[in-house]
Amino acid sequence: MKLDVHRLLAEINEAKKDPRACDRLIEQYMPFIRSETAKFLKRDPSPEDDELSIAMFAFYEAIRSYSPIKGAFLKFAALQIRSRLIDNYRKERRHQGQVSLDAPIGSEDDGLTLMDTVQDESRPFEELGVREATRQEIAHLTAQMEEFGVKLTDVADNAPQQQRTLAACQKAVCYARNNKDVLDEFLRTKRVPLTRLAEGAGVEKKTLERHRRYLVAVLLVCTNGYEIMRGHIMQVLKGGEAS
Amino acid sequence: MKYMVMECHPAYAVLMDEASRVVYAANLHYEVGQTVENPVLLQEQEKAAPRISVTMKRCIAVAACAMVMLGGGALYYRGNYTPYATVMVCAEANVSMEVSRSGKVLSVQPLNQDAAMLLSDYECSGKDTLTVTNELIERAVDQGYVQKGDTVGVYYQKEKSKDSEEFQKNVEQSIASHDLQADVHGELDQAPVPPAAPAEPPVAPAPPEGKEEPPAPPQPGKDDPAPPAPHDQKEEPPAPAEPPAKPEAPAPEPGAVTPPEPAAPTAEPPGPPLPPEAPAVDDNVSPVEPIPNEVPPVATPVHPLQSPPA
Repeated sequence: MKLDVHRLLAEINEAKKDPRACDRLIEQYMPFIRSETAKFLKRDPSPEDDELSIAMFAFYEAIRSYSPIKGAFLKFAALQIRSRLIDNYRKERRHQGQVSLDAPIGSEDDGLTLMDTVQDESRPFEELGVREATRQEIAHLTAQMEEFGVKLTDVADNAPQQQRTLAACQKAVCYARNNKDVLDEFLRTKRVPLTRLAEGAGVEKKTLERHRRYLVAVLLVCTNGYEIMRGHIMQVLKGGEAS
Repeated sequence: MKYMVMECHPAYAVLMDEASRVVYAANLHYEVGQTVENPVLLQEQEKAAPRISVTMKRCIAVAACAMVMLGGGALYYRGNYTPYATVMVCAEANVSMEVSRSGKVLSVQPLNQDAAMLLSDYECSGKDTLTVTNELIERAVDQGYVQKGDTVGVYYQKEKSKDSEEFQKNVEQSIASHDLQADVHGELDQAPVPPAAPAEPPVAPAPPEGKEEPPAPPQPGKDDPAPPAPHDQKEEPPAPAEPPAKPEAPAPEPGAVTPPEPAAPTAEPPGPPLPPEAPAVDDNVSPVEPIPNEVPPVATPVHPLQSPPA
């Protein structure tokens, strides 16, 4: 029993550092996650249920935030899952008064639904094309980030949380975008020119140091070859404040 | 706010918003490259204040216990081992006691030689103030420092405290139980310096008897209610001759005691009519002033005509 506990703790610690280990641990505990979801739904969850996805995400949150002083991991994770599912239920309840697009129209024999009568403004084929192009850009970006020793999960962990910090980083990115030699130096040396960015943008060098990996990702997006992603974060690249 | 799905995992996805924030969100069947709205974002655990470790908690608990024990110990020490009041028992043998708040006697000090004798072989540690006072009075009675009817003075330094009032009442009762008179005061500063005096007053009643002894001077007054004529004055001189009766005073009584009690007789005399020419002072002062005592022997031969004194 003690060995199991120690093994679980070791796996959790490893999962905190390595996303692949985290995925493995989640896969390993899928029966537990299903069971907790079933307790909430009072039925077996299907793989398409959003509740199951949210329960898995809650389990991931539990892995990230767990420490031994919080008690047994599984109890902690169960509480986390239940809380998340309740939050989601309350959030979804706000939309209960709305009519479903799948609601039948006329007699049920006709088999027509509301969705059949609504004009679909989306262009699925175009969207699929854009999505594919975006996917390629992201794959390219991820590969290029590997050269800098940075992963997307690292960027997510290292991204600024406070508005003031985010504004300082965006200021530095704008400065780099307006000074091509800075970007060239960045690509050539594969190091973020923190001193130049700090001096040129007038921000604290220490602030930029703390978010170096985030700057790597955004500065790479600013270089040529990432048109779609640049379009997505145009607000930043124009030098505007993040909303 | 729109989010671009950057990376997908079984349990979560990495999204980038339009402000270039990169965040974690629940993977609601997303695909990389997809743009989504209203994702379920990761609830970043608020960085709680650094938790206190178990060791630190134990240290704090131990320190708190130590503080409580020290505080309690200090209070106990203050209540039981710190001098709070001073009690002075004056019964020929004068004793000064230091008393704690709880009423325990901390130390007893003799103030004169008799007190040193009284306190020899006496152990007072841990005893109550009233107990020690009673025992000291008993010892003083046993050893003859005070006798029945004598006055014992007790002086308590803390006058206004409630315990002092109670103590004074108890002391008065206990002293009365020894057939002694109590002179209990609250303020130590008011204690008379010579405490030996109070033991004497009981002897004072003697003056009324002595009143008859010095009758000699008044006798002439009594016998001659009317003031005698001037010629009688010459016969008066024998009055001073009376002093021979004086010697009686020192003889039988504990005569040494009476002399300090001059005031009593002075107040006592009912004030018999005194002849104006007669030395009024004689009645009252004669016992005190030694001069008349010496003069009469010399004067007696001066009046040979007078009948010789008995």
